[in-house]
Amino acid sequence: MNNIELKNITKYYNANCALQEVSLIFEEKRIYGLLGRNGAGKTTLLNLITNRIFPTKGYITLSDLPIRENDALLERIFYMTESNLYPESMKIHEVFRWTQTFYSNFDLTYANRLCEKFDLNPNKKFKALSTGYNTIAKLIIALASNAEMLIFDEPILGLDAHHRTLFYKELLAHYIKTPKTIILSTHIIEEIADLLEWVVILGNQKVLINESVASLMNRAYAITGKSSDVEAFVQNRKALDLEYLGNYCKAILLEEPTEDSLKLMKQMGLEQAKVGLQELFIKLTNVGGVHHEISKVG
Amino acid sequence: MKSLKLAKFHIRMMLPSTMIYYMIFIMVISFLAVSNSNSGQNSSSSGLEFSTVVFLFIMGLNAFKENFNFSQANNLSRKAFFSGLLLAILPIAFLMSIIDLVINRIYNIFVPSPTNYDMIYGTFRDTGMFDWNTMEYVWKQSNTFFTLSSTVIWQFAAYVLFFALGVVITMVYFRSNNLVKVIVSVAPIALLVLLRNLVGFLPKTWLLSFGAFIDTIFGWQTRNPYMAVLTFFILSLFLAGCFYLLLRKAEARE
Repeated sequence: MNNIELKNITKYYNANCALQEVSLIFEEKRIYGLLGRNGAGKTTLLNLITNRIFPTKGYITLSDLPIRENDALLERIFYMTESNLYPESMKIHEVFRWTQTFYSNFDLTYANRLCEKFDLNPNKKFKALSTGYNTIAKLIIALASNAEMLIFDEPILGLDAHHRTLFYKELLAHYIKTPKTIILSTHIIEEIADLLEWVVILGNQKVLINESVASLMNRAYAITGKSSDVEAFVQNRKALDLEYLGNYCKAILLEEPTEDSLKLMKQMGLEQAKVGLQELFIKLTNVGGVHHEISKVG
Repeated sequence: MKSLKLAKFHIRMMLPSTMIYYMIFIMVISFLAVSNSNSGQNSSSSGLEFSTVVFLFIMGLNAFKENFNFSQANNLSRKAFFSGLLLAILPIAFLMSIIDLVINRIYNIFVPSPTNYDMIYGTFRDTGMFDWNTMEYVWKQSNTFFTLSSTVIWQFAAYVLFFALGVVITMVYFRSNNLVKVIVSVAPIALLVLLRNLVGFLPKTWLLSFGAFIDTIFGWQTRNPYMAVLTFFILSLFLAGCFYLLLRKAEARE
């Protein structure tokens, strides 16, 4: 199996702990969303997977082989970072050519086609690109690399709505054509929610959630009604948050609604609604919230 | 395999600055040659290829960050980067050594110009450039196969060493925090001052032994350039080792 496995990964930056005893498996041919608040350790985790940095403790494998300094394994992963690591004086088409040298499956025709779609001039130098086009250039390189695993850290930085939509479409089309493991790390959760199959949420240097999006969405629901009724209902239940508006209250719960609870809701006149991934993420990672009480899945 | 591809990339990145360097170098010495033949004065120059040493040292200082970032963007291991850079400098240094030799031999037709090799291991040491009694040039450049090949190898070894020195210095700065950067910057000067003051207190036999050691490792007395070549290679290997140790946990930075 072409899984990426992290085993008891701990990473310290001097005295600061970025990740503590993290164990995770990224299974092949799945689209993952790696979510977390600023400083949660998302980029650290991705950097560790791709050997940009090394763990203080633990190890990482790809297809059960240690990934550390292993060029044959590293070639199977393409990591698009937020920072620009390409020579500023290099033209985009030159970067394509060099990437083709290191990624033998790089599709130059596809890269040029994407340049046309995104309206990117491949004769421009990296330093001449705006923030948005810099991101576009890196996205094109990542998509055209045809690596077995694509990792995107903040892939929509500086992109306008049109380009963001185009990227999501291309990514999905690319995935349908050649299924592969894709990890998307972004703060714009609402937009990518429909793309994701699986979600990993980091917080407090640990994995808070590691679950399929469908299962998570089934577990999460919101109820609204009179404050006293909602408060009574959430007693002894896994409520993530309570929001008050006058006499009314909204609670978000993270547990599979049972027949009994549905009946009780009806009796109390409470309304049930679905919760979006972004809203759920906010409640889960809210500092001072109750996210640490939620049992880990997976 | 990855190392070879990376070496190609390193060479591609070094090529433009090398070409500009030679363009300027050739322009300057052409100007000197023309002005010498027009003035009718007895002028000479020596050790011009030292400028290549300086150039390669500076190129070493600049060979790390951008190329390392690019290798990281392509998910290449540090091992591949290390061997790629070493594989890149070998042909570049060798080619530059040959180019310098050719330039020197052509330039020498117009202006007497001994190379560093000629001055250290050749007859220049015995005759000097000019006989002030007869007012004639007495130094004749040797063009034997041994001299030509030894000059190329000796220069090549020196070029590799200075390039490696540049890379290691830039790596030390890259990996250090501000305090260590200050210490590293001040340490060589402090060491020189300390040695200068210590020399008077050291036993004379120590100094003589040290002198003899230096003499031997650079083949001065025996006029054996290959002792120096060996020394240059050992020092280059030591620097390459330092480079690898510093590179092992280096992280890409924008």
